Amino acid sequence: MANEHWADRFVSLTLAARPAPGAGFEARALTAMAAAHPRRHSRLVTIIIVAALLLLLAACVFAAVRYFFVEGTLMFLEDDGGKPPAAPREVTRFFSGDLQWSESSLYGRPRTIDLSPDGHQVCFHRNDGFPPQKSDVFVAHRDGSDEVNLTAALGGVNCCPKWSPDASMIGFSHADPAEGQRPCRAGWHAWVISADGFDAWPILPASRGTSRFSGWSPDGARVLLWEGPVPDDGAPEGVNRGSITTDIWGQDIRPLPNVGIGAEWSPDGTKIVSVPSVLGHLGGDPGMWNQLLLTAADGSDPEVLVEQFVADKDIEAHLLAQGGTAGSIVSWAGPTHTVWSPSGDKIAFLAAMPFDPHGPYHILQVEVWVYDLTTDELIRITDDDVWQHSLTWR
Amino acid sequence: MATETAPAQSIVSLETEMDLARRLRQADPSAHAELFSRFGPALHGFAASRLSGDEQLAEEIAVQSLGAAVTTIRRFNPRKSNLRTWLYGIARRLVYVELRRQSRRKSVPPSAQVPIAELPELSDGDDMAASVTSRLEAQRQISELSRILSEAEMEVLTLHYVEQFSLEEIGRIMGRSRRAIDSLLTRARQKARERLASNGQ
Repeated sequence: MANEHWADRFVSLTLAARPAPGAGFEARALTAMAAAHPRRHSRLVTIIIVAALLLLLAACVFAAVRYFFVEGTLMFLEDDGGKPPAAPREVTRFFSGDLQWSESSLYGRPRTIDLSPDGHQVCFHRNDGFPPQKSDVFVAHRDGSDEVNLTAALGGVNCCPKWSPDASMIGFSHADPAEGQRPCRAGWHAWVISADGFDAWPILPASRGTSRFSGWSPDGARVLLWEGPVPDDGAPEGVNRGSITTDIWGQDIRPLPNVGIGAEWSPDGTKIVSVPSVLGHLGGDPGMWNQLLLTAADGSDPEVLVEQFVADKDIEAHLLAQGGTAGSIVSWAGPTHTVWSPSGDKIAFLAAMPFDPHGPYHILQVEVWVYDLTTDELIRITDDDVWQHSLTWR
Repeated sequence: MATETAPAQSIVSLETEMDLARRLRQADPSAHAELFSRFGPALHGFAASRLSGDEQLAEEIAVQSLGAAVTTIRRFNPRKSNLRTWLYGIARRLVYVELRRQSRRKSVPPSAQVPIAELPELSDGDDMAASVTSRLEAQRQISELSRILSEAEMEVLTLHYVEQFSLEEIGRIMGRSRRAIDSLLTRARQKARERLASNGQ
């Protein structure tokens, strides 16, 4: 009973001590409850804002990863070894993805490829056989779809296209070989075609002889060409006159001393890299030095980054017999192509290893190499028995 | 003596609460009125007890509790607690925020300094003085009791004897185990019995 007494007293005191709520209590409470309802649209806005922030964060992370860890996209094509490749394997390797092609015929696949500056398109050439009598330049989406033949109306053999920096034009090499004649015998000529295929013209007059398209200056105002021999049935193969730069109309031609074949401007336009092969000796053995050569944009200040001596009496005898002189010869088996990394601190190139001892065309293996200008390190990217060719780095 | 374990919530009241919660989620205005009529005055009284009879603050806490309940009604889980327990938990947290705020003050809050003459009119003018006097006397005795009991002991006594919550429900409201509440209630009961029994004689 005592328990009930104190508990009842506690309850009655507590209740008595409580003030009654004010007259406006209910109205205030109802107003507060009505205002407290979470609004659906505000929640949707919150979701949109959060999603946008997440996307922005993901984009920043992607950009940071790409900036710090991915030096653009280095892409190249591969074929199985052999002469010619028995089963071309259009596998592409690069640092961030794959490119697949649907064609499967022996010569139906791209032979050279160049990623557009924005990385969304490719231009490439595809030929009909070996030696090619018909070869065309195409543009397509990066996955190989929706290809357009740019040179269908031009005829002949068209190869090795390169996008201009603003992607409005494509430089390439064109030849009109006779039946069974190899294109280099007929003579290559550097051409430019608008990316929509409506306008195309040779860069140099025919009187200047043959030329092959090498690359674009970073501002797109000039092109880099490799001049070959004057067209003549008896012209020696592989004997070339050297590199030049000119505007796309062939009006302002400037020779580039020292610069060899496979030349490319650096992204900042201050340097040119090429892969010349020059006749020479090592010990008592005659042969050629295959070089990765860096020069200033005007061809001065040559610096051999790496070189490899190839002892081959057959090649030397063959080329000298046809009028070649030391320093002017292009090795069919030597380094053939160079590309700069987008940052300009690395150079990728192709080099054949080893040479086929039985002839200049019998290349068994070509590998991709990268030279790091900041560390002077030479990195071999591929090491297998397939034939890599065609480099592009965006 | 009050029961120490409340009967399990009936199926009818559970369905009623779930229906009320559903209507609150759908922003049904009639649900606001029902929520207020069922819990508004009780929450006001509970807050007033915990805030030494400060009517204005108690009303503010009750209003905020109901608003917070509407805002967070999607978090209410009828499997874990009933609506009343959940609401008292909200009110208790708001009371504690206010008590912490008051404890940092050097002076009495302005809302507690309202002269008797300015207190809201409770009933007819003739009854007002008697009513206020009675309330102040009750507050004085409760205040004396609170001097020998801790805040938690006062709270557990109020929730158990006045608000009629079971020990399990008090545990949910105060965030403590049933055993801790049992122990707390035993100590509070002993102190209160001695104090109130002597006062009552």
